[in-house]
Amino acid sequence: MKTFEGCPGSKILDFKGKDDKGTEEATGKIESQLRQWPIQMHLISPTAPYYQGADVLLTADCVGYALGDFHRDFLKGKSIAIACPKLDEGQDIYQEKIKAWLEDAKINSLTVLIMQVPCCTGLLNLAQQAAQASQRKVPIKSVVVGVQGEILQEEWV
Amino acid sequence: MCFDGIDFIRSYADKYHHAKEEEILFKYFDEDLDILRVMHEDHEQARGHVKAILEAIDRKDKAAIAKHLKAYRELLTEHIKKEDEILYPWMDKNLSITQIGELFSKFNETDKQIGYSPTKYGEFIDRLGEKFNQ
Repeated sequence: MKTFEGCPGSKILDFKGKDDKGTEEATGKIESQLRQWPIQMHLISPTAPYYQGADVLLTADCVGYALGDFHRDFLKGKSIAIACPKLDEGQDIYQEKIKAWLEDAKINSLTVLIMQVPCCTGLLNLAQQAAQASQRKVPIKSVVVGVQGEILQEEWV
Repeated sequence: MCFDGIDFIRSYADKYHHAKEEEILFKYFDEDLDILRVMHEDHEQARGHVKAILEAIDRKDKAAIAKHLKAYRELLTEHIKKEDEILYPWMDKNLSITQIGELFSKFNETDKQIGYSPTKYGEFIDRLGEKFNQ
């Protein structure tokens, strides 16, 4: 059988058997923790009121689908922006926006959530480059999420 | 060199590091917790050794200087181990991201007020390294 030779981010994976694991199902309506609009990195204004002094979550597009408890465990109490470091065009503006978060919105912290696939680290690199270029520093946390929703790594950058 | 060492201990270790722990970081927790009381005691013991070193310098008592420098080294080695292996991992689990952001900001503000100069103390450590690693 020919081995997969393409980008790991587009490798086909099937988790059908996961339903049989016996994990407890959530009961009751789960409230959305989203407190803003827009959220896509090209559309957001970094100085919008919900970013002022906020704890910001910079999230790769796929994370919200992989992480079952995304709203409860990560989004709650935070402001957000989403991006795809592999497929989004015009990402130069992203670094400027992150820098504006730091210097103009004076955000309190930045958490970068990415998937385990290699192409996703581009989002973390973007955040680090913006932080290096900025006069103002904030704590930056990196969280790597597995394709089956598990947290693989959580560390201060 | 001894006076430079004392300056390093008082300004860098005590003023920039221990003071920020005591006046900012520890206040985010119940200061009666055993782990924080142990860290406070370490800080006080360290200050006691520094005081004893200065008094020994005045008396020109080389034996006392060496004794307290050695004791300070042993104390601080254990203290740093407690910080790295126990205190900071525990604090990391018990502080929210909001609190961590606030702390970061307060530490930066304190550094500005104190006039923190990492270059001066970095150069001192480099000089020590060159002298004693020959």
